[in-house]
Amino acid sequence: MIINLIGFLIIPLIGIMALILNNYTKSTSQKNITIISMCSTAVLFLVGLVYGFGGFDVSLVQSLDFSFSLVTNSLSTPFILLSVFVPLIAIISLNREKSESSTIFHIFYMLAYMSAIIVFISGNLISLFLFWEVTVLSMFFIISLFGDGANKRSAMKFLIFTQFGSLTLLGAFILVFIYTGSFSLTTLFATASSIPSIVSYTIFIFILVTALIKMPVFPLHEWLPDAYLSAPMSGTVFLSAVMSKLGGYILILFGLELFPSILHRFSIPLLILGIIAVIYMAFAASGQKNLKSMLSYSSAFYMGLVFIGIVSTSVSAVTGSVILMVSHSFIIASLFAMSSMLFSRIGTHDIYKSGGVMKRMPVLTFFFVFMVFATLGVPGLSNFVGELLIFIGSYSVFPFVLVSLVGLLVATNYYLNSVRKIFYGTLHSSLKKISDISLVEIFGLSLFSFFVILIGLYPSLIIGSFGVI
Amino acid sequence: MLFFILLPAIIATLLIPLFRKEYSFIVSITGTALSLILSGYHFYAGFGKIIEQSYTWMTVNGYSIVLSTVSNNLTLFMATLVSFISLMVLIFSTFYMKKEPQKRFYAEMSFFIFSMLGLVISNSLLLFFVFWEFIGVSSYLLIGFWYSKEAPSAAGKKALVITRIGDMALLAAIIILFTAVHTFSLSSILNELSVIPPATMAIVSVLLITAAFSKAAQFPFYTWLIDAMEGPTPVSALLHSATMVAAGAYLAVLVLPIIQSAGMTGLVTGFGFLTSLIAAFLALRERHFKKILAYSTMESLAFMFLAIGTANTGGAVFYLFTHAVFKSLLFFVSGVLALSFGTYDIYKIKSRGSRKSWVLIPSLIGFLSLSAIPPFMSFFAHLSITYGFNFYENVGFVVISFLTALFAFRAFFIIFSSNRSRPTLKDPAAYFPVYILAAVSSVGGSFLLFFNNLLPIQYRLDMFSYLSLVAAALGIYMALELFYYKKASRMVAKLYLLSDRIANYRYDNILLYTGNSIVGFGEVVAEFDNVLARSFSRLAASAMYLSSKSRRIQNGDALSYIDAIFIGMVALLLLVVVML
Repeated sequence: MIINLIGFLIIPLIGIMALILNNYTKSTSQKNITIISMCSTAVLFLVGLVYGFGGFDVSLVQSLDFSFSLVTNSLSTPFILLSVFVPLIAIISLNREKSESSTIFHIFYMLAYMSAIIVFISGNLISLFLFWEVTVLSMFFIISLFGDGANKRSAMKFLIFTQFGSLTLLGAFILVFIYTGSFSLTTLFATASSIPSIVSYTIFIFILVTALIKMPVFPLHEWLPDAYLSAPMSGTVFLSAVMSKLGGYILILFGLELFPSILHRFSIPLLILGIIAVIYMAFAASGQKNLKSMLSYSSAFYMGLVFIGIVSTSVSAVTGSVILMVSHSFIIASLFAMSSMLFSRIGTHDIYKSGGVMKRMPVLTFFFVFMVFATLGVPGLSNFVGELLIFIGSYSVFPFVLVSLVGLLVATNYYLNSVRKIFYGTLHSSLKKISDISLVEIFGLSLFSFFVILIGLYPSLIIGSFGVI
Repeated sequence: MLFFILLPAIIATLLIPLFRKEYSFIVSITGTALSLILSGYHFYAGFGKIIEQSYTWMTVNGYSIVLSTVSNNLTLFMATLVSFISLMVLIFSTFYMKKEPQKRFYAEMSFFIFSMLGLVISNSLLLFFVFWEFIGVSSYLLIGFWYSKEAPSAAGKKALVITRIGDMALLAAIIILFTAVHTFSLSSILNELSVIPPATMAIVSVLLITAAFSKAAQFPFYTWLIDAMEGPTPVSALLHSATMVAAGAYLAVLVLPIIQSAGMTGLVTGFGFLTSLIAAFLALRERHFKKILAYSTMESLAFMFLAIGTANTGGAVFYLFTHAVFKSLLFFVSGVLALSFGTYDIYKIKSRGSRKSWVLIPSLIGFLSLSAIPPFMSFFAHLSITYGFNFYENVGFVVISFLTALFAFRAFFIIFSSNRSRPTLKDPAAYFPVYILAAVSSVGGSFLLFFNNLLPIQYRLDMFSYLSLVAAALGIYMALELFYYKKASRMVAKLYLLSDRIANYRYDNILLYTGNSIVGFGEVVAEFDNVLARSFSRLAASAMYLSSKSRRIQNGDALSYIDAIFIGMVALLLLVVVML
């Protein structure tokens, strides 16, 4: 039973249709429908892992070479893994959101979910770009309609930034089409050498800008603090866990596979940029007083490491980057989820305004400390494998990448500081009545932890799932 | 299979949550006892053999990332020692931690023991690093065990942050070595040292020395060790004897050929002397019993580094063994006294009447061991530490012997000098480990005679050994006069003044300053980023303004957007179906 990739489009669409119908009949909660359709997608993915995926290809506009084609390439599987599971587990664990009962929210969430998966399996640049845009728009609406604080402004800022990134992506695609006459990924790789060098440099720069904005990497990260902070938690999870990975995916697919020689030439300057970005983000994160902002900057810090791995062009480092992206996706999603669980109980994101929470919430504390260790790269948990491979690979290209270990050191300090301020110490008098997390939340966090341990102990699962790059 | 040694400890960690909390110590002790039996068996069966076992973790880019263990005399001896001391500590814990929430404690202890056992049998540097990190993490959890108090949680954090400097250094060293020789296996790396260029060697050695020093609490990393006394006493006993700090010395023993070929041994000895001097002086003015022991740990570790720096690994390992026994003994004593009298302050212990306590004899044995008085085992260890010393090092060591005896017996005489006496707690779980360790401490010196079968070790009884002994005896005599008979109080005051002056140079302030400036720098960067983000927000705001002009096109009803997108999607799908 080979799973046809079109299933990843159809099942979520059925889910969206059910959401719209249910809006009138109100027979069950919208969240259940979302979870059920996401679960079906996940089952589809798991069955496909066992029996294999079948490609899907139908030509729509011959003259433009616009075909709707879905194929798995050497990179897809790890990315589908994260984009299928992380939003699902996040929506299971986040059950005190104010957006919970809104139909619109669930529709946009499903749309973003579906389009992110489709981006990772698109075999045609036009469909890739279309679904890329849908994720951006869905996130724009999620932030703008369900966020808090300066949500409207943050959403607009997010839109402007990422739309600029999309614009450069579109520009790159058009240039590619002009010089190769094809939008199809497979023919593209065969004919990429025919692109004149000046054009290929331009395309490369365009792709690079897109990736820098999307991941985001310093100095194009200005949308991040606002968007992450004002988005509802499920939106933040999606932004950090899935959308930032779109940038990494694009960079590997087009930067590295399409123009390896250009990336190779720019390797050292880009590595220097990566190191600066990593150190900058580490310090920026350490200066935050708000847990959500701290996690946002820390997320950007890890994407900086991913960036270092990719631009070093070393095979081990790129492998490490992919592993780190998958791993970071699960870890940061669970950390954001836990910060939301905390917020719904103690009512503040401020690290310095609570204390002693462990006394009332030992289970949450356990998971939080566990995930902090995971994110700090304790061996046996998933981040370590990614970091190790990135450093091994990129060290031989540019020895000074080891400087970014300082960033990990700073991260140790601020993560442990936040753990200490929030969970340890004497219980804050206003928090006497808070209760520990519910079984459903424990279930969600256990699922996250399961993946973190699984990838940490058997990284070969991920390495084996993608072909030689 | 060597890794069977580890299984009982990790299984115990995983099982403890399933049991009722009254039984958690049974699970933990059973696990460690099994580990002890297994390592003892391996030690017996594998004596004199070298067996490497490896497991390919993953293959990337044609390079296999291999985790391997090695069973040889050194690793098996260490495994036996670690599980023996751990067992003693766990038995003592049933006495000390009776009134505490136990599940978490025993689970964390078992995990810690698992990590240390894994560390000593690792051959692959990567596997070594894995367990090295586990040790750091579990020590963080154990030191901060009493999380609701301010000081322990701060101490735990400090311990992990400072030792993580070493962790990152070790990781960097491993990566550099891997890039040079494409293997993680320590035995292969040591065989291929000649391939590595000298500059790389120098960097790697400095990184490795940093790693070892940070874990072993040597200058300038030592402050975490003193603060770590906030943890429960069994934890201190475990961390300070055969495990965490010993891991640093053990790393240096393993990578000594690298340090030697980079010509950095002088660095190790130099810092060793510096640390031992600082520790001895700081211990002189300390009132907190456990902190005195912590300073003496620093000093003992420095002795190991002195031996390592003079290429005398046998002596270092023998001293590690000796130190593990008498230091855990002394910590147990401090724990018994603290539980009985409710304080660690040596003057308060004295005034509350400790004279006729049953721990008097064991602690005398412990302190005599610490001061290296024969026939106690550390005297024999000193004979072998000093084997490779040159003249100046020998002279320095004599001075340090004097200081050691002085601060050790200062503590002893102060604690037991009052005539008042009150009953001390007596519990089989307390005196069983104490007596066993006291016995080993008393007769253990004879191990030196056949230690040579185990590891190459050399020792010599020369003029300086006698001089050190005389100096130590002098130190004890002086402590007796000064602190027991309380003569020459002006001299004591001067001594304290000197010690205070050194304390003022303590690295704490510099460290604190560094820490604060890093945090401050973080705040500056965060503020800068905030400004940056705000300036881009203006851009967004102007876009909002522009868009308000064209509001009529958008009706603001999100559902209609969704409908549009959805219709588009369905149309796309229909188109697809039609085209099929």
